Amino acid sequence: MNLKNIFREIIVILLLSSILGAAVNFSLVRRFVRGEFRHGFLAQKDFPGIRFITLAETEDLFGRGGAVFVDSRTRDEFVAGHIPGALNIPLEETKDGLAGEALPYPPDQTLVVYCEGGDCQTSIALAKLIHEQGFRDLRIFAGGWTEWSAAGLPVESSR
Amino acid sequence: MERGRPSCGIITVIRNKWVLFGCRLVVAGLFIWAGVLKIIDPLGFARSIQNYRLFPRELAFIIAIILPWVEVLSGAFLIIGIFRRSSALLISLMLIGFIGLVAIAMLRGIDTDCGCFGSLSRKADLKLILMDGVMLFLTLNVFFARPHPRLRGPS
Repeated sequence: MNLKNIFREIIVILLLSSILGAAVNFSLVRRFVRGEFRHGFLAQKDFPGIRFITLAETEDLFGRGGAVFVDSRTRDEFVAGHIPGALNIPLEETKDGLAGEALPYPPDQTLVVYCEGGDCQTSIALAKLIHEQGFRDLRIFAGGWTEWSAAGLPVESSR
Repeated sequence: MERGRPSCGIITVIRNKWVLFGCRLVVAGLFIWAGVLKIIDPLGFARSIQNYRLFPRELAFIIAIILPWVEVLSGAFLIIGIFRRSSALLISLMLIGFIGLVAIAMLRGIDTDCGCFGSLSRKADLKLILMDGVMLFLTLNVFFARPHPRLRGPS
């Protein structure tokens, strides 16, 4: 069999996969086009207590007080700088699940989870774990530490 | 061994029809399993792709929708024997891509799960590169096996 035939068959496999993928995930594709996943790949109907918030909303929550900020980055990153008053729950330390005493708050407590920002996904993964514990007012600040510190907002260092 | 072909020990063994069939079974089985786990949770796979911090959101979504089906179809074709060499080449290319991705993540110090087996994913580390390397060897063995009657697989 020559290479031309092989590449032709590869294209057939890729085309078939594209058709099957688009057909099976038709509703997901539609929701993506509508912009549902612009902040992160999290299905809102599966996690009704979680929503994404912008820098302005985060700043507002910070200013009003009452919300608890949760930093999902590593201990070293947290120590170097974080949002004042934030709790550090590094995602890498939650492989065996989240300890019950990690968040001693009632389920309706507003929690703002953040990570580095950009494409970092640890805030989403941690928010899902917290959601499983019954918390129902979770906000994910997708801009994360990068956006917060770049905006010149208050920061705290544990060093 | 067919007359006129050099009888080299290791080549004779790895090109044995049952060894080749075993290679197809192992590689195809793993790819079908990995693909199905990702098809079940496309958003989880999209998050895994984003973790590598190499692809824009749109591309991560498209890969998450299509790649699992490429894995399942090429695995199924490899086992059935339709498009066998094309499937082997496609799987080899995917494995080379996976090895490259994990290596880049390691070099950049990104601590992430590989995303290779959906929620059952393991860490993207050197062991994973070695496993992918072994798989690549098995797959290339199938690809380069001459499809002449005596060496053709059981199917």
